[in-house]
Formats: sequence, C-alpha cells, structure tokens
Amino acid sequence: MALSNKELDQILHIISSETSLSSNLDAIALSFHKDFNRSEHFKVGMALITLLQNKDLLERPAERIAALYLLFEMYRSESFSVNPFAPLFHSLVQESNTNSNSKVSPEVFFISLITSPSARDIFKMNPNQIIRAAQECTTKPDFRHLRFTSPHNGKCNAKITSGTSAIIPDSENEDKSVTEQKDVVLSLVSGSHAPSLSTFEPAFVRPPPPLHEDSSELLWLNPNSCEYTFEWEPLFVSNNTTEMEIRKLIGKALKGTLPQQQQNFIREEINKNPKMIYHIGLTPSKLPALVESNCKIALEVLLHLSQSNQLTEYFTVLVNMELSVHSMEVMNELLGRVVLPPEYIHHYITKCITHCENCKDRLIQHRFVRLVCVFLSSLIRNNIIDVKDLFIEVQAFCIDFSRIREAAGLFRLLKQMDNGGTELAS
Amino acid sequence: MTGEETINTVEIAKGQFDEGRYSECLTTLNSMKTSTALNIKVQLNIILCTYLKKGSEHDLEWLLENLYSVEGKMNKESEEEEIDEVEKAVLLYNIALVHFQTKNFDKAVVILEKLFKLIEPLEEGLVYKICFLLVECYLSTYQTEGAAIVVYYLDKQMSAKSAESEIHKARMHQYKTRLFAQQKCLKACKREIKNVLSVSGTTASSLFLKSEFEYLRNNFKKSCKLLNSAPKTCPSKEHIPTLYYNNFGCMHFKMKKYNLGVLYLSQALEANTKAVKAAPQGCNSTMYSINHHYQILYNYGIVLLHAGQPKAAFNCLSQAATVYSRNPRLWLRIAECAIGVVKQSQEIEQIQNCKSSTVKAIVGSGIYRKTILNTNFQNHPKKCSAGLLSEDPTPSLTYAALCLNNALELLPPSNSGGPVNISALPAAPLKDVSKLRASILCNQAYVWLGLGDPLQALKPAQELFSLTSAPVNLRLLGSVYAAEALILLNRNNEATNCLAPEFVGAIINSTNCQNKTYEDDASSTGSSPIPGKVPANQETTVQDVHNIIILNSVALYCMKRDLNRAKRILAQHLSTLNDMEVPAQATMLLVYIELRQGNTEAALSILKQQQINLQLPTSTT
Repeated sequence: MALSNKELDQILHIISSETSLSSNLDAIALSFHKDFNRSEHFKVGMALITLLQNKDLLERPAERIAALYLLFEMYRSESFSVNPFAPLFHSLVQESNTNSNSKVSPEVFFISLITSPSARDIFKMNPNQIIRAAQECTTKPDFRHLRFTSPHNGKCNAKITSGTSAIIPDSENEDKSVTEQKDVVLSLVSGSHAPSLSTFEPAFVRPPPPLHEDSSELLWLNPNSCEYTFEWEPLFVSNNTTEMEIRKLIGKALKGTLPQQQQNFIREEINKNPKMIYHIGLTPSKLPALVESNCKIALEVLLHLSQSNQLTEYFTVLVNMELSVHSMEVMNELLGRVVLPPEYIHHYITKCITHCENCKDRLIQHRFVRLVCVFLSSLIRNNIIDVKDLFIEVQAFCIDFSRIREAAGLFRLLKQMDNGGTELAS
Repeated sequence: MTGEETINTVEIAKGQFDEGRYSECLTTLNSMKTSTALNIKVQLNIILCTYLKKGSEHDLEWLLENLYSVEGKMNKESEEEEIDEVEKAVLLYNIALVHFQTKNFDKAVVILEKLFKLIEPLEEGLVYKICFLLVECYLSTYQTEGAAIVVYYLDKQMSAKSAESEIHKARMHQYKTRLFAQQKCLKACKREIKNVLSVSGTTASSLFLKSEFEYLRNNFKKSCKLLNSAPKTCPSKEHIPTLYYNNFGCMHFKMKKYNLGVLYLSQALEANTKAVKAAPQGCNSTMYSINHHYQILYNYGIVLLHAGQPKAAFNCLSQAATVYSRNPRLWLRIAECAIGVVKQSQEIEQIQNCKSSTVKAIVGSGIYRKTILNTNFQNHPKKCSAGLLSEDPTPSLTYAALCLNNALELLPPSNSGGPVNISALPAAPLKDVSKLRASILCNQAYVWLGLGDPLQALKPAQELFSLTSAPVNLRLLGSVYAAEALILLNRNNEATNCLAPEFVGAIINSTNCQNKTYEDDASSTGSSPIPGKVPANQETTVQDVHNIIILNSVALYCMKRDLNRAKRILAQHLSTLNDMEVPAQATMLLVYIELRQGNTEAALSILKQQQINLQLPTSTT
C-alpha cells in the first residue's frame, strides 16, 4: 500500500516536470493513466495528499494544481461525494473561508472550477494558465453547488473521522536542498508502514485484563504411602458344598414345611457361620414365603440380620405382609429379643386391629381377635410398647370386641396399667 | 482330584498369591480341575496372576478387559436368579482398583459406592480394602463429604476391634490429615499431623503432609525446611524428587517468584519423565501410579503464564485441558495465554522501528524535517476470519473466544444463588465462582473488541460492570470496554455515560465488604514485598484503570470535537501527576488537541519535553 521508488519518480514527473506543467490537464490525465492502473489510484492519492499537506515538499503552485487535479481525475467517473479524497478539498475550502485574506488562493479557485458542473474548458488549460487565471479572479468562488459529505453527518463513525495526519512539519532552519527534499518525500510515502498511510487519532486505550487471581489454583503433590493391592478371589471348596446344600434347602423351604431334621440342620449351620445368610439367596422379597412355611428358620435368619444395615428392608417386608398366625408368631418372638424402632411396632399393631375389624368371617375374626389380644398383652406385660402411645386405639378395639373373653382381659390389663401409671405420676 | 486334595491345592495357591509368587501360583491354579461353579473363580485368579507375574507383557487395559468379560459370564450364568452382588464383590473391587490405577476415579467411585452399601456380609479384609480405596478416590477428587462418611464408618469399625486395627491406624491418620486439609479445618489437620508423625515417624509422606500444612498457612520457610528434611525415597515407589520439585514450584508461585517457580516445575517435569522411563517394565500399575505428568504440566503452564511466557504456557495448558476439560478456570487460563501471546506480538509491533512510544521517527533535515507520530498504539481490530471461531488450539484471539465460551458454559447460571461446588480438577473444587465469572467476562469483552465485534463485546462488558460481587478493578475495566464498544457502535452518548465521573464513582463506592477484604489482601502483600518479587506489571490496580478512564473520556471528547472540554479535563488530570508519571496516551492526546487547534509548535514542544523526561535517569525520583 505504498509507493516504490520508481512509482514515486513517475508521479513526480507527471506533476512537476516542465513539460507537464505546460501541457493541458487532459494530457496530464493521459500520461497518469498510462503509468498507473485503477488499483493503484488510491495509494498514489494518499501520497499526493501527503505532498499537498506539506507545502515545503510541493512548493510551486502549478505542481499543486496538477496534484489536486489528479486527485479529482482518479474518481471523476463517479459522483464527487464518494471521492475518498473529498475531505481534503473540503478542508482546503474551509481554510480559505476562515482566512481573512480577500485574495482567492489558486487551489480554491481551481476546486471551484473543476467541481462546477458546467466547467469543460478548464481541462484544455495547463496548470500555469490556471494560476494566472486565479490571480486575475476577484470574486469569491461559489461552492453552493457542492455537497461535501460532512464528517459529522451521523452516518460516519466519530472514531474514523477524527483522524489527522501523523506527519508534523518540524523545520529546524531554512536550509534547502533538492536531493534532501526527494529523500524526505520518499521516506514519507514509501515502505510497508509509510507514514503517509497512517492517521493520527485520539487514542482510546484498551488495557488488557489482569491475570485472574487465585491462590489455591496449583496442585501440591504428596507421596502416597498407602498401597492398594488386588484381592484374591476366594475359592471356598468345603464350605461351598454346605452352602450349596443350604441354598437348595432354602429353596425347598420357600415352598413347604421342611422336616424337623432339615430345619435343625439349617439353623445349626447358620449359627456356625452367620455370614452365610447373605449367600443363601434369601432376598427380602422371598421372606413372606419362608415365614409362612418355615417360621422358625425365618426367625433365625432375622435374628442374625439384626446387626446388619439391611434389616430395615427385611423388616418393612415383614410388617407389610399379610397377617397370619405365623407372621404374628415371628413378630412376637422377634420383638422379645431385638429392639426395633417404635414406629414399626405401632404400624404393625394398627394393621392388626384393622385386619380384625375388616374380617368378614365371624369364626376367623374371633380367632384373630384372640391372637391379637394375646400378642398385645404380651407386648404390654414385657414393656415392649408404651401403653400411653396406643391407649385410645387399643381401648376402642377392646370395647368393640368386649364379647370375646381375651378382649375383656386385655381391657382390664389396660385399665390396670393406666391406673398404675397415673398413680405413679401423682 | 478328591475334595480334600482340592482344598489343599487352593490353600497352596492362596499362599503363593499372598507371597507374590504369581508364576508359581499360576502353575498351581492351572493344575486344578474343578466344577464349573468354581471354575470361573479360578479363572479370575489366573487372570490376576497373569497380569501380576514378573515379566508380564499385559497392561492394565488387558486386565480390565478380561475382568469385565468374566463379569459378563457371571451375569449370564445367574440369569435365572437375582444377581448376587455379594458374590461378585471381590471381582468388582478388582475392577475398581484398575480404574483407580488408570486414574478413572469417577468409574472407580461408582463401583465402590455400590460395594460400600452391601458391605455387611463381606470378609473383614475386603471391607477395609474397599473402604480405603473409596476414601482414596474421594480424596483424589475432592469429594470431602463422601470421604468423611467412609472415614467415620472406618473409625467406628476400628474402635469396636481395637486390637486388629492397629496396623490400619497410620493409614487412617493420613486420610484424616488429607480430609481436614481439604475441608480447610486447619486445627484438626494439625492434630492429625501430630498423630501421623507419632504413629508412622518421619517418613516422606508424613513430612510432605506437614509441609503442605505450612504451605497452606503461607509459612514458606517452615514448609521449605520440612520438604528438605524429607527422605528421598518412599516405600510406595513414588518418585520423591518429582514431587519435591513440584511443591517447590507451588511455593514460589505463592510467593510470586514466578521465574523460580518455572525453574522448579520444569525440573519436576524432567524428573517425572525419567522416573516413568525407569519404572519396572511389565507391571505398569507402578508406571501409572507414579506418573504425575499432566498434573505437573497444569502447574507448569499456570506458572509460565504468570512469569510472562504465555506461548510456552499455552502449549502446556492446552495439553492439560485434554485431561481436565471440565475445569472452567483452566479454560480461562488458556484464553489468557492466547491473549498474552497476541499482546506480546502487538507490543513488539508497537515499538518496532520506533524512536519512542510517541514519536515513530524524525526524518529529513533543514526546512524539510518532519516528526512522524507513533500511531501503532491505536486499536485497529485484527480481522476475524469470516467471524468463525477457530477450533485448533492456536494462541489467537479467535481461539481465546472459544475457550472463554467453554469456561462460561461450565459455570452455574449467574442468578443461581447459594453455595456452589464446581469441579476444578486437578485442583480443589471452586466454592465461589463470582470472581472467576468476572475474570471470564472481562476477557470476553477484551477479546471481542480485539476481533472487531463491538456488539459481542458489549454484553459481557455491561454484565461485568454491573456485577457487584466482582473486584472493583474488573468492574471499571468493564466500563472501559463497554465505552469503546459503544463508540464503535456509534452510540457516543452512552459511551460518555460509561466514563462519566458519577458512574465510575458509584462503582468504586459500591464496593461491598467482600471486595474490601480482597483489596486488603492485595495491599497487605504489597506492603511487605518479598525480595526478588516480579514487578507487578500484570496487576492492574483500581487507580490504574481510573486513570485510563479519565484519559479515554478525554479521547472521547476529542472525537466529539469538543476540544476545549477535552483540554480542560486533561490539564486537570495532568496536574495530579508528576512529569515522570505522564503516560504516552496523555502526551499524545495533548499533541492531538494542539494539532487540531492549529498549534503545531506547541505540539512539537510537548513531544520534545516528553523525550527529555524519558531520558532522565529514574534514580532522581
């Protein structure tokens, strides 16, 4: 995007050689188009602007007219408002407006001519002639026909339009030399970072974010003194056969009552090796069947499970299974030997009472009421439950079935305990 | 073979296994002809021995594959019956151990948690093994709640049988020390360390634990002394020098001596590579367990970043991210590396071939002399390739944007209150993500501005300055970025509001208590500087950002052609600074205003004065 040494020579020749300055504008345009194709126009234009902005680098008025003309000529086929160099024309006009000097500068005079829609003759003039015409001109040129794109018309971004040249004239004395001038021009318009290409804007600083702060981010490593080793898969040969046998017997026990001998065998083996209960395939869902057909074995297993955290699972099943003589017997035995959470017991008692109330068959109902009464009396006598917690419920049950002897007995026991309780309290 | 003979053979095999004579055990096992039910168990032991025997060419992947295939067979056989997990307990434990050794902690935890639930019927020895491994896995992944439950269970078990558990005591104290350290219960931790030292003596692991404790309390001298006094070997074959260098790296990072940290961690990486190469061939459990490559790489990358080597840091951390891809802070760090790399190349560009930060060059002589201003500091967004995010881990702004998206995705939604627990492996989980979120937003806004997308930049910038839980300096940066984005979107009035003194003052004053302590921390470490500390060039203080805000508001008035107002604010600001502190930005704004007002001479003299100030020896201040 910058000019080479050769290109600079070419353009300087076009705008400042004596032959050029004495040939008309059309001829200058012709030689320009001969040397530069359209894609090069912009960079040549940027270089010309730099020359125009620094009067010491392009001193002769005729040269300046030629340079201005080329800036116009490059985008002549399009509307003047889209000419990228229009802002330069604009600033030159503005400068002359603020200038109190009544004399019209040749440049402004020239701008007024080429931009006016009627001007045709001017292109037949040479730069020197234009200067002379400007000197003769006395009226202020009229720019009303020109609509400059204002840098502040809102569509343009403030950041883009606020730029100015990055080159500041900084003369130290009046020394002049032609070769020096050429060198300075070259260093301004050539190279990949040519100063003519950069604009100086009010810089908005964008500080990079500071690094995130975190003091616990790194990983401290400690030697691991703990070893973890693979475990031998146990091969129980002898135990396995007993276990297999017990497994088989339990399978049978779920279907029907086992002979006394086999029952004893299972109970003995479990007592010998309590961990076996986990290996004999007795899952909670199988418990009700075992309770119904072999309640002694079920009781044995449950007693051994009482230390385990799986007990609640088995117990939930037991409390919720259908009421029967066997299940009540297991419950009764279990409660006598293991401490269970009271909410389970209460739930069970309520279930027993409801079961009796809902029983349709009078004979069976009688049997169950008697069983429940015996069960409750035993719980109360052995202080397994606190009467107060269930007093109303049990009392209502006794009154409902007061015709049954056992219920009456339970009622008496209840009263007795209650009085005893109040006596103690008072 | 009769039943009795079989029993004898099994006992012999078990004995050989326990003594580590795996090849002999293998021969014994192969000689057994057994029933099918037993067959599968013999097969499992054969697999173990084949893996464990000296000179075995099988690796952990092979072992895992074979264990799983046997498990599949067992499931098939017991199809008719309910699957008895207890039957498979040993097999499941062995599978979990393989997962542990290959550092698949999550998979190991799933299996071990299942076993822990049905621990009752299991053999006592196996129960301990399961519990210990589970605690180890929990501690390795910072699941302190789970670890506490198992430790409590073990304590109860051991107090019931005090005699037998004597051998496990040392182990328990180690676990508890680590647990309390992770829970930040330093008092309890200190007590346990005493127990560790009294039970197991001054072993490498007990001294390292104590050293870590002192490190956590910032007692670096003590911590360093303890590490130095630790024996250089350890019974578990861990390579002590690797860990030693790594921990020294951590210590120097905390002391902000980043270059030393880099040195130690590069030594740690080297030591680790050597140790892994030297590990006994065949049994690659050792190789796995002593290999800390990715953990050290992670540490190394973070320290490199702080030491001003973002490119090397980027390479380390993007490798670490392949293992720790769920760590949001790691993604932020990778983005920071990419930003750092881009920034360094820009900085080179900015001063390349330039006389100073304000003047690029002076060309010519005599009447033709020109001063050319340095315009490289102006922000020109690099073109983002068709707006696409680059997926390749290259240190570019597009990749940084992708990393920041990842980081934000891994955080809980910003409106979800309450405590959080975000995994940040390999380090401890994050309990508070507000500062992390602020840093991510800050970087996001910066990256999108750099990519020339002000619309994308605006959202995180605005979220950041309204985030009351964020540090003040970041909130102010949020307003700086938001203002720039708004200018690019041609919303100049909103931009002015973002930089207005009232707005900025409100942010500074709304600092809540939490942030105040954060600042106190910063100032307290600042007031007692550690010798050799890297200059705080990476820190951006509230005052720094505030100064930038004032200068940016001057620039904004310049853009709005309100040169008089710009000049007034600038003059007022400069009066608070001494000549040495005037940033290049201020000088350039002053030059700009003078040039715009047609005062070329004034502009030139400002530049010359600044050159003189720069050449003054700094010792005069």
